Amino acid sequence: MAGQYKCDICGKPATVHITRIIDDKKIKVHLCADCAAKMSPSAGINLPEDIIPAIKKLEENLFMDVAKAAKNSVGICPSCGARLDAIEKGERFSCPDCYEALKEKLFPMLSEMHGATRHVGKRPKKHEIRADETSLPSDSLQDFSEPGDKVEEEFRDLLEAGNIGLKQEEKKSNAGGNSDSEVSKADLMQELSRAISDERYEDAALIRDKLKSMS
Amino acid sequence: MPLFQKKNSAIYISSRIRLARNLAHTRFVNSADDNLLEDIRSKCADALAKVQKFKGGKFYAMETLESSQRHMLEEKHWASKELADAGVSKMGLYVSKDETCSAMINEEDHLRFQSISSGLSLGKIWRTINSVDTSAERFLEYAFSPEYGYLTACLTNVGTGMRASVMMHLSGLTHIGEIERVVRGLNQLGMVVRGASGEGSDSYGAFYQLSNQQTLGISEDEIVKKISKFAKKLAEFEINARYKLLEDRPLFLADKIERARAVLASCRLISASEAIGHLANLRMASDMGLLDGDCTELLDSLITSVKPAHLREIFSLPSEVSADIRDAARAKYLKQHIGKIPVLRKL
Ligand SMILES: [Zn+2]
Ligand SMILES: [Zn+2]
Repeated sequence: MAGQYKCDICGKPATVHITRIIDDKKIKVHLCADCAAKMSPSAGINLPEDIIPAIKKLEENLFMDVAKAAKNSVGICPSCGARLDAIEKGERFSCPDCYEALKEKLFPMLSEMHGATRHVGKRPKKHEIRADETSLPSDSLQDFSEPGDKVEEEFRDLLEAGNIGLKQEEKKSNAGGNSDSEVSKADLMQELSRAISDERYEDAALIRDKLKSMS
Repeated sequence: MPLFQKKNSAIYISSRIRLARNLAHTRFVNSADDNLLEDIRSKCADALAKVQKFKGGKFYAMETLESSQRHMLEEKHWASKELADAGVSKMGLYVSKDETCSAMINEEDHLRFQSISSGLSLGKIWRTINSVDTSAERFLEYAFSPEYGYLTACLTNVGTGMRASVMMHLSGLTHIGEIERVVRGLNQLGMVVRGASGEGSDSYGAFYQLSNQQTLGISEDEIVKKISKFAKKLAEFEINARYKLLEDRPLFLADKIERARAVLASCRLISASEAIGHLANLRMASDMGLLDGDCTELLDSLITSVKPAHLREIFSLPSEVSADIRDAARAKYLKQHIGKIPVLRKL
């Protein structure tokens, strides 16, 4: 696949490959048989001068794309070859090892999606925690979700602010209060993801503590 | 409140738990080729055959079934819509002999165990499906990370791989116009609420499925507790809404019930969604004790029977049949059974 060039003019598979030095830069031109014939009826390799600017432009774009790709790239999964940037953008994982390959980017994605970054449930037998192991480091950022009772309370506020089964005077007077704290909590979560992806771990720890104190 | 002899106990229709699992060191379904998928399917099927729960059960290779057979499995809630729609792929379905547990193979994940039971029964279902999973694990090596839990093709399922859901009948909240607000409120709290039979939150008949969004950083027991708790809360709201209807708008309520009976008794053509809408109103009335006798069970069986694949089977309809013929068969079927539904008591 890698050796297959496409025609610079029309995109069909290229069969004619030309290398020229223009302004001290080596420029490679790939053409399909048709376009090559149109360029030069004698089947020679005299490139018409008016196509050179177009090719230079093409070359520049290519350099820029490569540079951009290199900068954005988080690589590929060594096991299955999946592009990790695509997974980051929301595509499905291609194999179990994609998780390990994407490890650095996973933290904010998991925090945003699950409000947590570590598994706490069932384990297969061979992964069971031995008694001498502590289950989690105490400072791990493992769970930002509120305890169930808090959630239930909010749920009640949310619904009973209306008229389902609750009399007017029982309504909470500060109906907005809860949603305010909800908003700033969401902001903090975002801030946390940002801090982590910028590798500002001290900031992340501060934000985490703030989040903990809110729940 | 003499009319409420019953406890509105049919608000919970059914509970379901799904567990997603994948084989270790194996490409996920979305990136596997046909040979690998075939290999995964036989590996999983062989393993499941050794699991006590699936002994004597049925295995279906999906591409060998007719579309109508596949959709029948979907209407019975054993297969997902995705599994029923895809006819040519290497998907599989194992259904336990007692029909309480199924395993989809090569859907989004290599394996998806599923168990359903009536009413609010997530704790019981979790015990069943947990033991099935534990015994399957003796014959299959799962993709698991101590940090992220069970690894799944989609990040939304990683961790426990568990989706617990309760199907609920919320006609009361629908009729008092509160359902959207309730659904929004639940969404904000990280719950997923979906219309049971339509896309999005559109739900004819007011059947809604409540399920968890979070699968990581929460244990299976906690998920069960959380969903059960919200389901109970939601049922409480529904009961309040039903009282409210009865007190504030008894004529509106009576009209919904009598209209449902009238339409079902005399229509000549009726779509599944319209039929289910009317049946749902009668079901609520029965559950509220407003009818002269309980017929919730009969209504549940009618709601199932009017769905396309079931109806086709009842009338032995060919798979290519015009909508009119199907809708006429449905109308005829309903007319035959509507007489068994007790009349409305005086409101
Ligand atoms: Zn060309
Ligand atoms: Zn991979």
